[in-house]
Amino acid sequence: MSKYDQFIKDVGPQKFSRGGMLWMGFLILLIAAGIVAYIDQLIEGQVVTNMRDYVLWGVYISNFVFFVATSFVGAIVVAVLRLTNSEWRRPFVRLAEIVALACIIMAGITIVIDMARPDRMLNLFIHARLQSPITWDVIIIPTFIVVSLLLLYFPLIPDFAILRDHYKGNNKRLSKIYGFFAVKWQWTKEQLKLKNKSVHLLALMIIPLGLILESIDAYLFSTTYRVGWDSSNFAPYFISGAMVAGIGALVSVVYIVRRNKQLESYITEYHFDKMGKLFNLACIIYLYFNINEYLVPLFTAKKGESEHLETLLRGDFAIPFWIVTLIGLVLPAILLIFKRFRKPKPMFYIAVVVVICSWWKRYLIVTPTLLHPYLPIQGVPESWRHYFPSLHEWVITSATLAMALMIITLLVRYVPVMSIDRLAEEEAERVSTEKKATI
Amino acid sequence: MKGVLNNMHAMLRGFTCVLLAFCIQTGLAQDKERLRLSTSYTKVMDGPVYLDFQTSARIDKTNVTVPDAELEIYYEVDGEEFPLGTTTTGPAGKAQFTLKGIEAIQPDSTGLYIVGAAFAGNETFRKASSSVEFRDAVLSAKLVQKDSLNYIEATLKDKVLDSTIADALIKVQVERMFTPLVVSEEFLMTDESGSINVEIPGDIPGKDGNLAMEVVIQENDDYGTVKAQLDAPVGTPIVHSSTYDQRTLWGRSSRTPLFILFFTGLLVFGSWGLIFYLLFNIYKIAKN
Repeated sequence: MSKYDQFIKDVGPQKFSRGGMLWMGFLILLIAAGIVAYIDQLIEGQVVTNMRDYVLWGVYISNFVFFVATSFVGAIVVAVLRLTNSEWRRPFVRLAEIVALACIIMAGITIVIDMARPDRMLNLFIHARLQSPITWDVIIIPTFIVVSLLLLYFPLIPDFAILRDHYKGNNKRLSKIYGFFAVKWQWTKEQLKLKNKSVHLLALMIIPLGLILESIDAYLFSTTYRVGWDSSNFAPYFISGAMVAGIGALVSVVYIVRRNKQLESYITEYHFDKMGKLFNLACIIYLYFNINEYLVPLFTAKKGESEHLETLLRGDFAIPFWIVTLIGLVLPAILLIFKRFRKPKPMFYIAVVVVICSWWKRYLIVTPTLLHPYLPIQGVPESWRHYFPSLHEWVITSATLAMALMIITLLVRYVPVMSIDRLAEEEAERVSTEKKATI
Repeated sequence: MKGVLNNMHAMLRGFTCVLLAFCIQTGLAQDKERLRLSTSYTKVMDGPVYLDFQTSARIDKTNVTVPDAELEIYYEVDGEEFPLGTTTTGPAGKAQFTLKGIEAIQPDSTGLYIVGAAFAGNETFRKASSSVEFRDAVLSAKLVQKDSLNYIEATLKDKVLDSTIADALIKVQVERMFTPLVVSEEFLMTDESGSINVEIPGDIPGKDGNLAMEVVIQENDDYGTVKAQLDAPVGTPIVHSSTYDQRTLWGRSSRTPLFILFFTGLLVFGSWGLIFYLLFNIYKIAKN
């Protein structure tokens, strides 16, 4: 039995169980429905959505902002914790890279879905104005996708080599596929040096790129003269919100993977407790920026901004706003202070609530502002004064979320959720230390 | 009983006849509408003569303009009409007919001109006509400078009588995009010698400092509207402050500010340069 076999069995690729097959079937169903709805949207035009002259960014852009925010988790967990030598990060790293990659890919696709004429996408490059944050977004998203992919790929190379060797005897097809991705990895000194150098460089790159990505996402809104968006607080507000959404998504995924693969001995309560503290810090920072964003303008807001705030605090959007703020942010920030809520199961429930509220939070950032233009809404049908996504929008949006989950599911299915190579190294170090202690 | 029935029958016949007569009368009373037509005359010195027409009607107690009304223009000398041409009113019920000069029409022996327009009538409107009478006036204007101040001096004369016209309401104005800017006092009259003298303020903006000045007698009972135009290079030159060709945040793509070009370039080439370096590392790992 090779030194890797136990780790491969525990954290390596595993066939779908019955539940896994049902889950995949459910996701495929949602995606198929979304594709049908999207084809209909392409044929009929965006009239099938409820976006009109005023609310021209609806649920698609809210969803896009959510995906961009969630993709920030790669930068925090992988890069920041790596550069600060936080060893407890290890069980989370691979899954964080997977979540980040899935989300940023779906962010890119969601933008295309929002375009009424995706066939004119090339115009974004041909007629690009570099002064426009939309152009910056067009530049940063493909860059971030590639860097996230490389950040997932480089640490995987030794694992692919392990799997290549593992399947050599019993599954030649899989061995060949893993061998292709392992790029002739043989643990030579030169290869290790190149890999480590590349991972370190990627960890350095992903932090500024993540910050730029989130900031550009915020600038899309804050560089416009719109109430609720025209705020110099927006970029840090978005970055802190991205930390919350990203860690929430990561904790949810890690808990499910840990439970399904029975990884309790790998991802322990200690790891959850540490991540819970980081999660708590993220919630508190985000709460602080929320106070800056909503409370301070109450003192200085002019008429338009007052009306907008009134809609959020006491008007049409008050119920979702207070649910998102109190249940999705204040309550987690308080609960996570206590150790008992940083245990896996309570933290999973908290994380799920935070992720759902994070999604709705983006909806509340995008939509109410568009319903408050500076010029009065007049001479238009009554329905244009309100916005709620149409069935097409819901189906397509659900499909994008399903696609993100499918990418995560497939990667968890075929890729080790923790570095086997690193686990083997740690095990060897542990045995060596024990031997030395015995002697 | 039979008599009663006969009487009732006779009454019914009588009632039917009265009703029929009422209907016929009502039908005939569906008369055509009356068209209101007004004519005005404007002469630009050393330029064309304009005849302006306005049509309107009162329909359902509301004043409305009448578009597409075809008008025949004529001038009249000693009771005889001479055709000048035709014109058709536009969407606002207005039409303009241009004569190259006053020489295109003839006055009567007293120097009085009569110009008019006739509408032949159509399915909706009755025929209508309107005319205007005027004498030919000559308005001469010039720019003079005294003690570093600029003035417009103008004189109004009756051309046929060759006499100056006193006590005519006159104004001096600068041509602007929407409404002229009047620089003379509100009720300025020509003096006994038919002249006026109006100072031009020095702070009126104009392209390259040029002001398009107008001296106007407007809708004068005897002379109609007469305008004299002259260019006066005495205004304040307009300084064009467009940022169109500057590198601004709101400029077109070819006018991107340099700092944005620099940082975007740094981001694109920096990050993609490193990405290509990392891809090359994968190649090196495979080759090692």
